[in-house]
Amino acid sequence: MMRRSLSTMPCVLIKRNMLPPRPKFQSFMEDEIEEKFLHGGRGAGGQKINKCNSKVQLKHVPTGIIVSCQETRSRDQNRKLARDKLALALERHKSGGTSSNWVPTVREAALNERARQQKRSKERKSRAKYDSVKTAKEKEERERAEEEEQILRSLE
Amino acid sequence: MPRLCPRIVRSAAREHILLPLLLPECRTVEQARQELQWIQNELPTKRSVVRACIARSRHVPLQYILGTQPFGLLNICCKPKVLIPRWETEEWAMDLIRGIIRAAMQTKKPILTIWDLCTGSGCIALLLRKELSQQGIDLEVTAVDVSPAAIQLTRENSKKLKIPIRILKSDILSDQLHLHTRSDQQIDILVSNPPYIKKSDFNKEVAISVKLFEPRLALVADLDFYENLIDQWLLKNGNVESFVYELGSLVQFNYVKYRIKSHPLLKTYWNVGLKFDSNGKPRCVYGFKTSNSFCKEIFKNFGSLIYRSTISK
Repeated sequence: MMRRSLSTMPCVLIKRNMLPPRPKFQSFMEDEIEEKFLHGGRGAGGQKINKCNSKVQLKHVPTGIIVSCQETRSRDQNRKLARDKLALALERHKSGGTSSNWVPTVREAALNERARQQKRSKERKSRAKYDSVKTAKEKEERERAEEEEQILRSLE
Repeated sequence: MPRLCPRIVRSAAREHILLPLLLPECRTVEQARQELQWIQNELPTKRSVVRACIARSRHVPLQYILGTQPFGLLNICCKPKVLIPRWETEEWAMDLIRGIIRAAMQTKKPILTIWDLCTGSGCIALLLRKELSQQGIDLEVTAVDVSPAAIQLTRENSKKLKIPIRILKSDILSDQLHLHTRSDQQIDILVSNPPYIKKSDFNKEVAISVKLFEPRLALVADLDFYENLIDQWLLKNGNVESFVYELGSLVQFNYVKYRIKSHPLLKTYWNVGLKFDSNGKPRCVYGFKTSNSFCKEIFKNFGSLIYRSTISK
């Protein structure tokens, strides 16, 4: 009771569908990057070998950030995913972190906050549940005691 | 191919029991891990994953096991007896599409006619048709192959991906198909990924999984198809406005260039260029008539022009 009355900050609940958007790859960034396709191949290539992987590497020239992607078998998909990755890396770069000590982006901060809120609400719910169970138990005991007393009294 | 280091095999086995099976083809643990991920994502049951890994250890191409290969935005079905589309082919096909879109924005063309020889799975023909008609370009695509399995698979792909193209079964080396086309019918772009591995290179340079499982018909030939291009399509047919042929070595490029350069007629109006792939290997020979400004625009950033026709000089 005490704690609740003291907290005056209104708590903004973060909804899952209201999260800040993922950093997007803007079309103007296309001019700032160098794209490379790595197939890890010395030797002939073409019909002579059959590589399944297609690694895409992007270099953002102004900052020197390099990301690569080979998550899927499709080069088309990998190019898209690499761009998303680069957009995220740039967002982190903007928020001022270094690679060893990075600062979370707006979205990540919101995600962390959401995780905290969910944990707290879970705790609150479980506490409420235990409290209600405890009071019910106490009530039952009290009633039983009363009943026993009544029985005793009626025997006298 | 050097022997796999036993230490690597052991460390792979510690990570996942199936990884060592993938090592003979993948060579590195990182690559094997990636491939296992793909197999697990695409196959429904644990049992089929195990079976796929065993097949992989016997050098069966992954595309035959999973049944598909991404090609641009398409997912092309792959089956034994038909060549699996390569990334190099995808790369130049995408570049060609970009060129065509740029050219079409500058000059409106009523209808574009494209022929794809030795189509195999139909990948180039289908990708061109799909990407270009999405951009509102009107075009007619014809795919030709000699192998019944390839024709069957191209039909299947065309039906499954809902991309209508004309499919012809013909042996271009002996059927004189170029004479059966209507004399007034212009072929704007003739594309092909013909077999281009020399017989003498086949045993020592071709990867084992290709050697064992992909059709020789789609792989081994010397200069036959480049000769066919010059003699039949450029000289006898004469209605071809431009061409792109994939190749495996500079010998093939030099042959095409030499034939055009030394022919009294062809040398006056044909331009020849060479395109490298992103691995730095010569990959395509292309050519276009000087008189055709539309085709000239297509190949502006495609590769580097090596021979200019005598008219343009």
